[in-house]
Amino acid sequence: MSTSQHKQKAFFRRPTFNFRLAFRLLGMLLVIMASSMVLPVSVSLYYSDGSQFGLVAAALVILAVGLFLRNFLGVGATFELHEKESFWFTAIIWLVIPLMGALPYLFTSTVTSFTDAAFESFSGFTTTGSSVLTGLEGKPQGLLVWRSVSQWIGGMGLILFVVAILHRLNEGSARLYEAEFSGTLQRRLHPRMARNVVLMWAVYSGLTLALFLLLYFGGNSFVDSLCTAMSTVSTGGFMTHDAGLAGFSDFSMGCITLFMILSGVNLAVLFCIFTGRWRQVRADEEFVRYLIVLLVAALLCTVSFSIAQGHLQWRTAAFSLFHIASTMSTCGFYTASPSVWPMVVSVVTFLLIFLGASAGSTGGGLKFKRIMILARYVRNYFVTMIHPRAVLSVKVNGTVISNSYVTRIFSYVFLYLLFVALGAFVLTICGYDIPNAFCMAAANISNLGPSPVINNLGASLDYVSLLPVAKWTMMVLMLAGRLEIFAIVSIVLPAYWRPRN
Amino acid sequence: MNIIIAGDGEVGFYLAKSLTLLNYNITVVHPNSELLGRLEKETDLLTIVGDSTSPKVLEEANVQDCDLFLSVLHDEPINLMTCILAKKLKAKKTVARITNAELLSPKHREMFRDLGVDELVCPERIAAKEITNLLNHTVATEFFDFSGGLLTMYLIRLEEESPVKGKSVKELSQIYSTLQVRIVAILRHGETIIPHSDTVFEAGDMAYIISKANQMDTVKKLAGGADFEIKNLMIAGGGRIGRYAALTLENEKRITLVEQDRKRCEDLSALLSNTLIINGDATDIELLKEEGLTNTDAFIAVTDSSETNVLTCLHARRFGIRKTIALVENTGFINISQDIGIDTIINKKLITASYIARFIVKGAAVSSKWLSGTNAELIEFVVGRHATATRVTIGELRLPDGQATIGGIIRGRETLLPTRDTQLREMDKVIVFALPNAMDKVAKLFD
Repeated sequence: MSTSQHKQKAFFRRPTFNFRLAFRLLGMLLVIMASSMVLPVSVSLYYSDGSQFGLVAAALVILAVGLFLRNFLGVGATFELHEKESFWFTAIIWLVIPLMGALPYLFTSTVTSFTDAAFESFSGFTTTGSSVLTGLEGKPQGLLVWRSVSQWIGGMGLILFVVAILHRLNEGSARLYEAEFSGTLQRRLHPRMARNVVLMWAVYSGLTLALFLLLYFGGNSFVDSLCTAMSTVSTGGFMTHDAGLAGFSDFSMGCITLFMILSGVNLAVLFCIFTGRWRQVRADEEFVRYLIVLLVAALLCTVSFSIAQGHLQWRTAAFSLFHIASTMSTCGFYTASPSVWPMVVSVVTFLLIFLGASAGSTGGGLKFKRIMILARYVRNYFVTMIHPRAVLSVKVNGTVISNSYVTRIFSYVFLYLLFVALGAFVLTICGYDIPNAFCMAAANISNLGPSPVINNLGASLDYVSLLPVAKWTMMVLMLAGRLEIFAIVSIVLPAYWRPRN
Repeated sequence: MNIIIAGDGEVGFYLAKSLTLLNYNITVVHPNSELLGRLEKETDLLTIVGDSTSPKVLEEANVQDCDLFLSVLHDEPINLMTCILAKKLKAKKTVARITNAELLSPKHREMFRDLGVDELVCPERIAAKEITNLLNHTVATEFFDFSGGLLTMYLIRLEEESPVKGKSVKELSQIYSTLQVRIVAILRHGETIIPHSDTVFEAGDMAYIISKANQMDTVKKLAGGADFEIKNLMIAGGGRIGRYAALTLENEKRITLVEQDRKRCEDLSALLSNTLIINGDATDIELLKEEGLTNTDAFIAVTDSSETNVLTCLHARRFGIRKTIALVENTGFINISQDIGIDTIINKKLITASYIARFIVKGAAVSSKWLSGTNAELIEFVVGRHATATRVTIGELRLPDGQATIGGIIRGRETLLPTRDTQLREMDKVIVFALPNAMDKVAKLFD
């Protein structure tokens, strides 16, 4: 029997990859996605903004594909999932869902090119918030809501949705969770993974609802409140006006700043805050450092702005806090910025883009926990230079981090920087100068999106003028950043596709 | 008093032997008949071969008539199980030896009391506590608080330059009339002397002194020494004692801990956050020097081997380290070790026995301390309502001559140092220093 025949037979009898389960999960997700479009459709019907037909058509197509996958191709799926497959599942789901999510943009004729629609959709699901849309005030309200909904779904993780629903996945759910929320060393809130995910969703939805109510009763329009609430809590960053958040009242800006800070916190810690377990909150080293860095950076920016302006205003302090919170949580909001923009602020912002938010939050970046672990590892390395026989361990929150995990983080940081460098390389080829190229690549892999630091360095905030190749590169970066790289890299490795044995 | 001990060679047998000397009825339970045979030959007690977690064995040991059940095996779960069973089988009071200090918190203690374990003893924890006490009082080589620190007892060495050298106890009290101390015993050339007013101090005497806490500094000066602060500390041995000591001290002092076992080092590094853990052999002096032995202020040897501990401490002294503490398990070694210059010895058996003795001594003894280097014991009694001691002054109280002495009195929040005319009252706490054979007589006076 030739090898190819053997392979084919194996495919039909006992597939290496559990395709049926993949179709099943994908189908379910598409159905969920179609149902989530009820919100944008109702908004567009209410405002009769002309996008209702496009949105309904897109929803129907997504629903049809979903039902087809779930009820035909995914019938009889065995709920078994191997370690290797979980990466593949994650990657394929994260490719298909955003692509399907591009349909509403095309069907409503908001954008004409497929690249732009895909860019906007990828940017949404990965909670990046880079946008190619301009003239937002003139866009259909329903579509703006859809943009934010896509961020909101993507912020928590598509797969977490499935995990919450599929009780039958058992240990498979933990693998998927690990692949999507990779390496957060998250302390589970509940022994059962499915229940754990439900609790996470509860925290997430609670935050969103709270911010929505604050904004709505703070005098903002329904659509503005809804979209901004979803963009903030998911750390996405899509805004409803061309001028960003400049039109919001001081009260609203305060609320948004607070919720951005909260969104950069580990969900498990947030859960402890809401259930009053203060001892655990205070004991969380990452949370404490996150707050310290946030406040110090905000203070530094306030001082630099004040020196540059020659006087100190409370508005400057408020703006600095807003800006730092927006950068660290990787929301990527912007508002009317001070006329002078000192270099110190740009540099601080640039560094914070890499740092990002806490592990286990919806934010992106390298994450505090990783940096803490690496810093401690390096410190230990220096101690062993002086005391060669010292036995040291890297600890976070009193838990020892194994060496294999530390090496994993080193590989992660290496890949991260490599991706930034490659992305910047493509952008420089496309004609950007080096500082802007690096800023933009970093902002996209960290899922930050638009950032005033780019603005200051001279490039335009909108991604409209990017060449298609640059746009696709940015999409790869966004996805790599959202899936924490390993899932993306491992499926393109030839070794991954070689048959076992 | 009937006492049953489930114990092994480490703590149990020593406890059994010491308690037999105090005229208690001891039954020892242990699975190893050979060990028990040896013990029975040496000591006047009953041995029962068997597993202490078997109710049948416990009944055989007459657990229903037992006043005190001590389970001091090395294995914590077995001790707890034994105590729970013994209590259900009508033992009056149970004491379990534990290894996990976490169980000592009040909350857990209450839980274990409900289960039938009345008291928990963690020798390693007590030893570590003793180490931290000693490091704060570097001149004293033994240190003990009574009634929450109102009175303290310590063992202090008279140096050559001491101003009281060659003077008698009487002269001391005349010259330093404001000084309120009580010298309860002097160890000289391996002998225990209970001093009277004509006893003359000699250099090299080890004196057990009781004083108010605030007069300790004066006493230390008179003995010719002064406390020095310990900043750098080296611990050899990462067993439980070393671990607890490092855990309590690591935020105040710079600690280097040397441990031979790699796996243990890793566990230690997970537990301790400010201690430098070195994987190496404590007898490797070059390694210790490389890790800063010469700059440390104190050296604590608590490895599993008593010989290693004594030897490394000797080495440390040669490098000029002023405070050395060695864990010596072999009680026979203690006197020798002190003779050859190691100033402080820690012994788990003595520590545990001291601690457990408070549950044993008749009358209302509230705490006790067995002293190393002598077989004497220091006991804190509460004077009973109809006690003989409330009727006469201390001078008239007929304490066994040369075998017992009253070291101090605590009355409410006040402390008194006794004279011949002091009259004891009900509820006074009395600290008595006594040799083993006088213990019963003394206890009767206060009950």
